[in-house]
Amino acid sequence: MTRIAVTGIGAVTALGAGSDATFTALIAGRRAFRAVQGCEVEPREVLAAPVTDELDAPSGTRCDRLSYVAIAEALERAHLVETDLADAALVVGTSAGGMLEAEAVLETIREREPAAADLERLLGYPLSATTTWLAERFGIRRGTTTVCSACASGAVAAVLAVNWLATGRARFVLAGGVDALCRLTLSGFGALGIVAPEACRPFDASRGGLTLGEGAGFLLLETEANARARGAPIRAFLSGWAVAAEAYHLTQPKPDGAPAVAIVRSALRSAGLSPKDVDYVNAHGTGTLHNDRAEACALSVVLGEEAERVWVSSSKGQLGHTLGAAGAVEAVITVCALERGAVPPTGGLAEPLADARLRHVPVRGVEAPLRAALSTSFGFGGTGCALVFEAASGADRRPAAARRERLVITGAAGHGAVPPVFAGDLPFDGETDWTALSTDLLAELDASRSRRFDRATAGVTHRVRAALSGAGLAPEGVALVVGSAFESVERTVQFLARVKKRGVRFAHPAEFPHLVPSAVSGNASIYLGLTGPVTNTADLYLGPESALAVAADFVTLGLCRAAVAASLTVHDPLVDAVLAKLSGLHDERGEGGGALTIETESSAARRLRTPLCRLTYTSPPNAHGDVLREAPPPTDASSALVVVVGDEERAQRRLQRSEWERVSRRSAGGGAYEALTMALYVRAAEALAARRWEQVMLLVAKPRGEACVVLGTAR
Amino acid sequence: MSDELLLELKELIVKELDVRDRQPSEIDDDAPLFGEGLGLDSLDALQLAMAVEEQFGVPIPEGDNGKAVFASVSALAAHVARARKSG
Repeated sequence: MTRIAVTGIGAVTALGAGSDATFTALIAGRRAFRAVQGCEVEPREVLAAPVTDELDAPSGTRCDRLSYVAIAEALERAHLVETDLADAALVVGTSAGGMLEAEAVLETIREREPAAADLERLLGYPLSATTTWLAERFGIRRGTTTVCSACASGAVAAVLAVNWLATGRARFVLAGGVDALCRLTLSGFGALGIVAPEACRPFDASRGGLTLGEGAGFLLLETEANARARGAPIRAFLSGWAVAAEAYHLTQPKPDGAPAVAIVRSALRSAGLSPKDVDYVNAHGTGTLHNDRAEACALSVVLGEEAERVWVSSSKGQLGHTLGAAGAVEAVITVCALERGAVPPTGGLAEPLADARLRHVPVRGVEAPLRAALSTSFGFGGTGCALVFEAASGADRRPAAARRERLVITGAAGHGAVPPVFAGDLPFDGETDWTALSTDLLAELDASRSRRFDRATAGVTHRVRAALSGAGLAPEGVALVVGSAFESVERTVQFLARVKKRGVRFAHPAEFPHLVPSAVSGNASIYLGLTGPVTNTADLYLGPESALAVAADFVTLGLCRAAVAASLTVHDPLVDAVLAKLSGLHDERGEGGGALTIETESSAARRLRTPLCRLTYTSPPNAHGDVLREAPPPTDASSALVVVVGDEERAQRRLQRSEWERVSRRSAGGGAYEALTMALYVRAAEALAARRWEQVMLLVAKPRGEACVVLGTAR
Repeated sequence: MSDELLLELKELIVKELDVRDRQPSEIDDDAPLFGEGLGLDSLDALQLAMAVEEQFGVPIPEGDNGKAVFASVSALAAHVARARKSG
């Protein structure tokens, strides 16, 4: 594959709408902090970096509109026309999504029945709502993914974009991140005591915490060949990337920064660069005691002798910590720095911390020609991400892409009841109905290491453990992708209601980090010791499929030895009573799901493991049109099976132009819980291992989500 | 300090910090709360400080003084009893 070119960038930050406005203000040393309304109880105001520009965007949630403006800029700069967008995919990273609009309804939902207008505000609550809104507005048709790795979300989105391009699933990918200031995050970080009393001062010896901001940043990525062929301006190359989890603590980095060292080194290696080639690091630099010390130590270790030469700065001292947007906004800034040959400063930095010696940039930017630059991001839950960008004039140093390998499934563990579509099926764990899991999910985990786990987290953790054990995989270097529709809404409501009543002072500090959607994958990775890329995907209608696709991407990109895809639905009073209906999910709601381990065929062979089955094909998540278009035909129609989940007529329409139409077909019904298909993949893997079929296609044909996954016997 | 206060604090710890594998009465008065012992961490310290302030109206000092107060249940009880008396 040719290099990944950045042909468009767009950003909206407190410093201005537009990447130029933002970057010019950064270089000038402007800081965008001001008092915002935080809470209804004293203290009512809190310092933050709000976006104050008028947003030139259609009506939608604040996240919708912030993203819209950033994407419109990226498209314009990339000289992309509307018809190109049919060949584009969209990857969005966010940590709170439409919380701003939803929280006013959620915090009182226990006290009074929400009015119709209030219910409408909840439509934007699922994390994927913004992604769907954007895809519709811009006519993006090749597919979408919504990802949450807390404060690394926006950077992880850019990494996921790479495989969309490498596999040819899309010609263009818009990848970025967005988050809006809201009471949940303002009060949550406040409760944790890590909000600075005055504007944040990243890397300063007397730093007192972070200051929150909001915004959106997007990159338009395409292969170099594609960009050259259409004569598009190449602004920079995304030439290296790494994602990994620390498996250490939900909110604190390892003090010595060792996992961060490994991530940055791995990103440089993937770019074929050494610290000698790097001129600038746009650091995560939140301004908190722990992050900045660990990160500064890590950077000084990685840069070694070069630390005296390489510029390091954090943009958060000027535009705040934009959470899920940060990784993407800062990637945009890094590209601007390369393009303009200018290094932005660290706002508020006066006396650098003594823990590590770095070449900081205080007060104002400096002009300096830059060849390559790093952007780092580290999130709650322990997932970190490093991106390497090179100037457009740089030589192609990327090592030749590895041969695309076949993927296999080596471990599978289901939970709950499934329709008996594969002959001879027995229920998992003796579960015979799908209305509720009868097992006490928490009882199966060590109590002292699973404090504050909710049922979903507990269930995911022990299914992932079972799948790993079935595959004979140790957790080190293994990825985890948890796909879900909703996280624990009930817990969020309790947190918000308490803040509304009693103020930030009595908010539950230990509860807040568990409310980030990626807390499920983060907690499971810490409990089990998984240190590969760890993330949550949020996809209302195709949770298991997006987890499967992203986990497969992590393996294909060589970011892990193996990956676990997991998805589990459990009851939540508010999802069951309100959100599921509102989102057009089925009324009858049950519990269940499972986990699968994915690795390359050669990895399984090296470990002397016989795979359960082959993962032959996964359709791009949320692609428009024919999900079967790129699926391989059945190798032998007589020994294959099609399992339909959802609407049979819709499935028939998809199948009729395909060779899969001749294959025998069974219906698994409408899906009594969101993660049903994950349980079905587990069942299919077992049926294929037992050679009851040679190939199984699962065709999801729901009104708002279609997908196709093909599994085959391992030979 | 009263046994009643000790038990109240232990109940608060079990409830607020989601300690599922121990009854309040099983927590040793003098065992360290953080690190070894109950295995509590910095997030738990914040949660406990908030809960003690809410239930007893007694703030927990920040920094090293706070660490001394959180050394054990008896140290915490002594702090609460002292603050109540002087308040």
